[in-house]
Amino acid sequence: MNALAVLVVDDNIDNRSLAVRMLKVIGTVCGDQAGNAAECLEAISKKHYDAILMDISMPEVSGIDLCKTLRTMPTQAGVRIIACTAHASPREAQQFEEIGFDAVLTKPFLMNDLKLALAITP
Amino acid sequence: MLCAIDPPPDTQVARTADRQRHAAESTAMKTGAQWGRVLERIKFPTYFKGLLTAVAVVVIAFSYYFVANEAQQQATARAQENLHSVTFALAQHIERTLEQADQISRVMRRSYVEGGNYRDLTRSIYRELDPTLYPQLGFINNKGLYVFGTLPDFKPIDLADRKHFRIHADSRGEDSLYVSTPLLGRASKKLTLQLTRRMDSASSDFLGVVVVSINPEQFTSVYRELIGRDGLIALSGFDGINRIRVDKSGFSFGHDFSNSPWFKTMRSTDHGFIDIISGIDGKHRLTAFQQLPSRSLYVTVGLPYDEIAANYLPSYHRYLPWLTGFLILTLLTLFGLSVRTQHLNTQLNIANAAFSNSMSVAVDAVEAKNRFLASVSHELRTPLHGILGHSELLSLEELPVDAQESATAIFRSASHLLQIVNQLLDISKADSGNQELKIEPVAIRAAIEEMMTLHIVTANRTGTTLTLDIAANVPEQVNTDATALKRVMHNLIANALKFTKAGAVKIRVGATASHIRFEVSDTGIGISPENQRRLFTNYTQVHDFETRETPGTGLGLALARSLVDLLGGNIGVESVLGEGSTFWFTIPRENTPMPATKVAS
Repeated sequence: MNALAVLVVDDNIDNRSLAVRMLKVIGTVCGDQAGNAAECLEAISKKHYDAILMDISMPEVSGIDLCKTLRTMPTQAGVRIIACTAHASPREAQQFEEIGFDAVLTKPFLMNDLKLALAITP
Repeated sequence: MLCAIDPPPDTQVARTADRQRHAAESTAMKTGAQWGRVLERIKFPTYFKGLLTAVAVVVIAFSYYFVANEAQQQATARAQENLHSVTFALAQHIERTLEQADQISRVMRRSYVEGGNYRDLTRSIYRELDPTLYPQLGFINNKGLYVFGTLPDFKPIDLADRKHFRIHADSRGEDSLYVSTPLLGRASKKLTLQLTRRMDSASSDFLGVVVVSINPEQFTSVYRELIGRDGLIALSGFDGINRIRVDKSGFSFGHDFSNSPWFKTMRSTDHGFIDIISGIDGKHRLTAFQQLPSRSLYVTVGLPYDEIAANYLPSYHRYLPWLTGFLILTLLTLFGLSVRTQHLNTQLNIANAAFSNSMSVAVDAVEAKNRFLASVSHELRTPLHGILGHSELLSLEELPVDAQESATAIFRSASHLLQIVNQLLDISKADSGNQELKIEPVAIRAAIEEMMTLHIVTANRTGTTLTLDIAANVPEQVNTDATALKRVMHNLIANALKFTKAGAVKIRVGATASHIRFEVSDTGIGISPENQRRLFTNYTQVHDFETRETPGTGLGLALARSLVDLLGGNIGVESVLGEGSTFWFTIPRENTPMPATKVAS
């Protein structure tokens, strides 16, 4: 049930490793990492992921554009994309969901929040 | 960054509206249907208005001059007509009178020359005449002796020196009627005109002069009635000496005006008009003259110009100066008002510009502050995420007790920091009007109970009782914003619990006609009156950093005040130091959001 394959996309290496460690504690199958949009696209072309944790503010290609791109790809039809952002307002969260994110995690978030976002029953 | 980078959509809307307006205007100009609007937009500069006013004043002054002049000319023309009529009639009258007198003189002369009984004949003629007009008839012989007259007490007297004798005696046989200047008759003792003709024998020897005396007043008196108060009637000879001059002061004669400039004009034609300033009474008169058809005499009739003005000018002429003055004054007043208005408008525009400038500065400042806070919040959250996340991970590890405590402390501190960041953002939002209110029916009791539930644990931990009392007249539902209301309640309850140990916190809800009132009373440490005033101010906590026992930034109350303001209510505190505090706030029963709430982009 918890054996999800999750990819973490974040340009900040500390945030990335924190997310990976949280995923490990939660007990997902793997926590692969990508530092930018290109690495993300490369990773998903090699392996199927159930969920992607995606930072919004990234250089070159933002999480928003990356999410829109993924939503156009038939191979990624079922993937759960979760926005991880320090932009705090509810309005922004709503905008992200309209763009195509399945859930929005506002930084800082705790493990329980991450579980909820991944739709894992705590 | 999703927010605050895009140009404000308002600007684009404004530009589009501008383009549309320009298009609309050019169409309007083509059709000419809205020239009024176009004219309205033309701003005449002051000097142009001044020029217009000056031109208008000049035009009015000229119009006045022309109209007044025209009226004057018409009056003069009518006066001339009348004067001419009178003069002409008088001339005819005098002509006839002289003609009659001349006929009489000729009949008398014939009798005398032919040696007839001229005395009887003359007496019989005289009996048929009007004695007031003809004082007497008589003869002067060639020696100048008055040999016969019709006066009852006639006696011969010497008239050889009289002009009316001399002029015939000295002439070379010229036969014409001579009209003398008026003179006091030596025979008649009356002021008379002597009409004389020369008498010659068949062999052209001078025999004497036949005399017909006329009373000049008799035939001028009628005309005096026609010429008004200061009119003048005169009968003058070609020699430039007047025979009769009649004005209001009476009758005079013998004035020599042969050297006057106007006499030349008079001599050059048989009738016409001249301007005379009388050397006798100083009056300026319009004077008509008419030569008698067959005599060397002129009749003149003069009317003073002031009487012409009084009698012949149209009545509107009197009001013209007033009307003109009024018009010019009105124009000048309008110009003055216009200049004043323009001046005021300029000042208003300057004030407006200054105002909108400071407005935009203020708006810019608020936007800059919000952007800054959003940015700070974002930048703070990222490291906080790391601290909180890792300290949570750390607390899950099997650690020595000290390390475990450290991990927990790090987690708690970071949580507190996050809370502060959140509160700062909330206050910023509420103060800048970016807070969105969602006014809807809110079940008050449920909302309060929800807030109480959140704090029960804390209350139990500090041994404080938390009670709720809702008055019977409080409605089930109130139109307000649930989130804001709960937030205020939450902050007040948290505040009360924070400063109360092993006491009681009571929540009371009551209602007035217009408002719902919430109270949170505690038995805590209380607040001094001086500090009560400082509460609800941003970044103010009553207790100094050095001495305070309770954590907090003072932001909770500031946020509560901001939210209550947004909800259209009031907030306050009553407190006695050492005994406890009662924080209260009100919200309107029917909420219409007070400040127009703006949607943040």
